[in-house]
Amino acid sequence: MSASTMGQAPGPDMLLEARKVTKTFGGLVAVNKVDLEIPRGSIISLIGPNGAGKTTFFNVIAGILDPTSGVVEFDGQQVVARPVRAWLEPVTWVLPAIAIGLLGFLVYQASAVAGALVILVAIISLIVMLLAAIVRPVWYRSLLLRFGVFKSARPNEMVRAGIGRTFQNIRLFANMTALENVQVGMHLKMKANAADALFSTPRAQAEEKASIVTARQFLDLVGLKGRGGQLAKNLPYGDQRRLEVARALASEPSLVLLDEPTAGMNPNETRQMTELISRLRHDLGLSFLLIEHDMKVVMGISDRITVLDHGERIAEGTPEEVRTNPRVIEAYLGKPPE
Amino acid sequence: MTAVSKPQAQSPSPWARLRSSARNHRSITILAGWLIIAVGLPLIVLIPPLSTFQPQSLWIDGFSNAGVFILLAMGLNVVVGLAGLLDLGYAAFFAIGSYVYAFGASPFTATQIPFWPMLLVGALIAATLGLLLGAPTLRLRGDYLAIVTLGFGEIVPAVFLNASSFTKGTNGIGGIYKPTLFGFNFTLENPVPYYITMVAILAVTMVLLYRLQGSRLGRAWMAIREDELAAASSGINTITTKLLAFALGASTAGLAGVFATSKLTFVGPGQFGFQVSFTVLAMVVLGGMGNIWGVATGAFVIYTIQAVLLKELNQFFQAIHAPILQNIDFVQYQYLLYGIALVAMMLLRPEGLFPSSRRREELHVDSEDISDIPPPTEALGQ
Repeated sequence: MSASTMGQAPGPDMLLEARKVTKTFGGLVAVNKVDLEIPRGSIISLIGPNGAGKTTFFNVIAGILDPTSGVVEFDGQQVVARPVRAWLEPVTWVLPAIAIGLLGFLVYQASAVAGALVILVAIISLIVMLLAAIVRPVWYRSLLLRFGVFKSARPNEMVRAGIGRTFQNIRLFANMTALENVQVGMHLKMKANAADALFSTPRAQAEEKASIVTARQFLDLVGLKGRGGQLAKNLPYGDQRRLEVARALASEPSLVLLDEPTAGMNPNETRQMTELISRLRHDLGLSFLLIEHDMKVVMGISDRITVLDHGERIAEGTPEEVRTNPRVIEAYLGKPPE
Repeated sequence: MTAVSKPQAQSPSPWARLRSSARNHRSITILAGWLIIAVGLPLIVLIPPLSTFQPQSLWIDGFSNAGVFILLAMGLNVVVGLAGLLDLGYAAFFAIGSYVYAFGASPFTATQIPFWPMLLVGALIAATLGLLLGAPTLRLRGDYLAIVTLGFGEIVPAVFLNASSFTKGTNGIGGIYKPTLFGFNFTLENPVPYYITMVAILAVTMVLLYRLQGSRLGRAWMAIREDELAAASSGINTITTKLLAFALGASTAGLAGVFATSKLTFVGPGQFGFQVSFTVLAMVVLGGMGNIWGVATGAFVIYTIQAVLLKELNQFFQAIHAPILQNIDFVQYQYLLYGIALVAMMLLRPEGLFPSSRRREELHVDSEDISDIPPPTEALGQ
């Protein structure tokens, strides 16, 4: 699997760095100035009581929520932050159209037909820019950066950057087969476009066949060998969790965000999942960020643990340090009676 | 690929062999299927109960009209069935295709662009407008999307109605030129050329739609239908993918519009009301969302019932002087009947008459090593 080359790609030692991430919903401070560092090839856990803001923080990192303040850098590049000069963006849509339109007005004085043509070009450029704003291709984003406009990456752009994720409440494509679920995960690794599909080009056919083989390998990897043809909704709960991991791995990420990967699993399945995570880190050099409530899992595989409570980071350190930290014990068990 | 041919004691039955080769050569199978249908339908209507309803030429003419609705239903199936975007204003794109041909080939605009390139032009213009009308709706889901598309469906005919200096308003554009092919003129008297053209368009469209459905793009559509957030988190650009669904659905409607107008030789804003969008949606739901053949069959059945059988029912009850029933004009109650049919479908068979059978290739290949499902005791952690 070519993921092995991705994990060990040269770059900064810190794969992901979140600095002072804050997210408020109205008056509620869900996440308050949380720092988090994920070194390359490490397993970091995020724990805390229910409602501590773990999943909100996760969603900020995954590009689903814009933070109120703070920055997330991935692979040395700022990917998530509060939007900067977002009001400038609409200006970039209309500027070319206004410029061409003015030109058209001047030409119109000399020749009506030529002027009308130029104005038509202005309208077309306006439509193109508006569509570009919706689709946000690479050239459009670099154009925005030139104007000093920053917007957080969208979830699909985060996948392109190399972050895969799973969800707390399983979100599989229920009416698609397990194999298709994984194939959807491979979306960005495939190149066939609509025209390829319409004309059924040899390139597209070969890619489609190869994708089935690769998808089976991912299914084997998580222990779902031979289940590829079953609908995702018909799989048992533990297999659904594993399928979600397989789908996240299929995008060949360098960082995998797992939101409660062993929730609802029996001890046997939990052990398998833990082994799988360790193996993936070891074999493919992947990094992991886990949210987990099962302390046996957390203490067993984490390199470092960050503890959140009421949106604030109350502790950070190795499993041993966190285990003995009085603030952590207090957050979980409450204050001892005076 | 580990496509294993199962070691089979006896050679597979010819029927099984036919099925497997049909699976491997889907495009050819579809074309062959349409050829059989194209030849078979005109012959079936010669059989007594059907032949008494109307003469064969009227049947064939009706089949070409049904083809327009099959096209519309297959296009809407991309938007509603595959991508899961409830579009209640689909007739707008049908209207755009129709008016494009009316502008391109009528005495009103004094131009005469041949029919065949206009098929492509109509599809392309409808697709472009599908992009533009789809863009503002991208952030909407479910009910809200349905209401906005409903609005678009009303706006487009209203524009054609009110821009009367360009469209002759409520009078509509008449005298539109009929297609010609290598000097052969299509006429109203002979329905066969239209019929053949329609079947050819349908066959090609269906091949293309099946290819799309089985491709990376088709999977992305289904993923968005199932769970938009999970699709985005798998790397799918949900915005472009949804726009493509709108554009492809619209282009199919544009194609249908060009054909329908060339056949009717008239276009007016009254033809594209909400009932068209609704009828096509009913066809998609009735046929089984997501299954292209099912949707096509649903469209055919509904159109035939509406255009032929309801009229026959009237005549039948009048002929036998059935009390009460002979006074009912069933054609007027067709929407009531649609409503009853849809409610019944939702209660009895919500997946449609012909639900999309999941592609079995994977299941077929995987089924032999299904034996490694752990025994229940292991799953209980004992």
